[in-house]
Amino acid sequence: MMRRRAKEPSPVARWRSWRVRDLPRWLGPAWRLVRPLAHRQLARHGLQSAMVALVVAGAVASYLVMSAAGAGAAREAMAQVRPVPLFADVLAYAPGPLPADIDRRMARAVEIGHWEMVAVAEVYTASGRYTALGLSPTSRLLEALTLTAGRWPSGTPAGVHGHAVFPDHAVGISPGTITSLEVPGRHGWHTLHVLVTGLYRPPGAPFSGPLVDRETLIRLGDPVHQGVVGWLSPRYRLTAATARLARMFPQGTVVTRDTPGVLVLDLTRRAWSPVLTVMGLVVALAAAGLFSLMLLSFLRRKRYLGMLKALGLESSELGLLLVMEAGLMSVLGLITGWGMAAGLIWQLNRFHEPALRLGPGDLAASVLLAAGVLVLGSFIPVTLSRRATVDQLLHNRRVYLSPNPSCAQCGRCGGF
Amino acid sequence: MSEPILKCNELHKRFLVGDGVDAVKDVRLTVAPGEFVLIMGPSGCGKTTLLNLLGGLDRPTRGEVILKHRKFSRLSENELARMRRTLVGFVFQFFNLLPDLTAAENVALPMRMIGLGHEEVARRTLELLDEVGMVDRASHSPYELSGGEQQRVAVARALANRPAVVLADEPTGNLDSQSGNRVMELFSRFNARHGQTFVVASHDRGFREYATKVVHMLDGAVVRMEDRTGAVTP
Repeated sequence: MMRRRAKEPSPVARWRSWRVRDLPRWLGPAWRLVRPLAHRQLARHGLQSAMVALVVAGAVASYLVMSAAGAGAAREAMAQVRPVPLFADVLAYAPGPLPADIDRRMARAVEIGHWEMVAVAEVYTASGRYTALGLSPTSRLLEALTLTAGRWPSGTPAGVHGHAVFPDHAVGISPGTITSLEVPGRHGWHTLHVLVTGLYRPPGAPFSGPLVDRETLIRLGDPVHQGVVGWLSPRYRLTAATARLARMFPQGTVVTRDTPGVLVLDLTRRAWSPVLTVMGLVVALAAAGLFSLMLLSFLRRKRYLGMLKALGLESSELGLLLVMEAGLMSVLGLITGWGMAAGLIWQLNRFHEPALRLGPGDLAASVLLAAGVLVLGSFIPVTLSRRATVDQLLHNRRVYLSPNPSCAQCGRCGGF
Repeated sequence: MSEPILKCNELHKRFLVGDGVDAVKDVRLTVAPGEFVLIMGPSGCGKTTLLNLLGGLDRPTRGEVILKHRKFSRLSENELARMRRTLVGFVFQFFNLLPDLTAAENVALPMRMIGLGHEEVARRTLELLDEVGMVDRASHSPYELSGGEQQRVAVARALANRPAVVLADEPTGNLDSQSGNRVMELFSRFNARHGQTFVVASHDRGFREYATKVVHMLDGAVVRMEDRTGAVTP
């Protein structure tokens, strides 16, 4: 009878089981075992340890300074628009000066089938995306100014882009069906003219029509306001409206969720944000620096690591040793980076008005950045240490990320 | 005869270098508890490879190693590592002490690996260093010790967890004759006093007097086995 060969676990399954199995050991006995070795190693190779800390400190300081500068620029930009208490949940801004007195009674809501332009200016900064929603001072939507309360519709899908407004008169925008016209502006701004076909004032009777998703309509039934909130069908394609917009603004690009490559466009737009580009470069450079130092440390210490493995140190413990060495220095680098950033910003503020500031969010993000640099930089050296055999380490043979077990001994084609 | 503590059947190791080299060819060996086995043969005859296979540092191309009823082929890399830390002690030709640690810390490391308490580790470390005559150099780094002293610390480290077997690969190969003899006497003393099992690879014929069994190797194969009296054993 043929014996069935056990199925090899997939690399993902192996990785998962490794994590689950090793975590208690990593946090318990392995930690206690490895920590003194890491301390001793760091003390003995002070220069290399300092280099690791310096790399992380440089990345953290660059990030924090860029972040503070970016937030400062955003604050300056936002200062150029005047807030209008348009809706209770969406802070709206009108670009430029507002007329002293707006005849709000003249304003009317837009009914379905009509459209209105809303300018949405986006600023990408290291501390997040700022959005300014603007209306023309003569907008018929200004009727909504009379609103005193509002909330996000309960059916708003999580994570969707766009704005939902839900004021007193049951005016709504379906985030999923927003069609926008993107016009590049100055200073990294992009003006999105949003077609707000979804803004409407419902008639006295519950609204129904081809544009409304009936299920959503039912879900959003609002007993408080005695009105039925209309909700544009996410499936509805505003093809005609899109075409009309494209004709009106030939210099712009009409972007809808159905536009082919919209994701790429979005990513590209973010990538070209100067702040994010610099941030990406900083992380990549720091990770490359840390990777080089850790790889050097691994290659220089193959024999040492081989001794530990021969004595019975498990692969995961060996990995922990390397991570701990780099991690301890990364923590030192993080704190140094905070200090460096604080010093740099203090110096910049002597010449910069308004003053640049760092918030708790920036510090938290810098911790994530340092952790990211650590993970990116240590992944390959740690993997190498885990995959290496005692023989390879003790006798300084080549080590492979993806070893070929059938010929790993020869050292010429033992894998990748 | 008592149950063998270490056993290998048809052990074969082929290195894929060039046309392939058979470093160990179908070796059969049994080691009883308390035995002192000396593996002899010229350089390149496969002694080191055989010890590596016996200690689970390397995996055979075919054949099986059984240490205390555990088949190596059924163990994962991590299980092999755990087995090495509890059941096997290694003494290497080049001592392989960890340069960052003192002599005492080197001896204590295997005990810390199996999670012994601080007090017991400290007590046993001192005991072992005392037994190898190195207690007064406990706080010295390896590079502050002579070769013979380093090897004595390595012996203490190998014995730290009271392993089932101590595998020593040319333990005197890097020592002068006086230091070499001292190390072999240490082995012999532990073997006689504590019944510690040793498998020692050496090409020095002078060490036959310490062994209870001598295994002669040539070109990767065992060509002869003899006992202390020189009688050939099966």
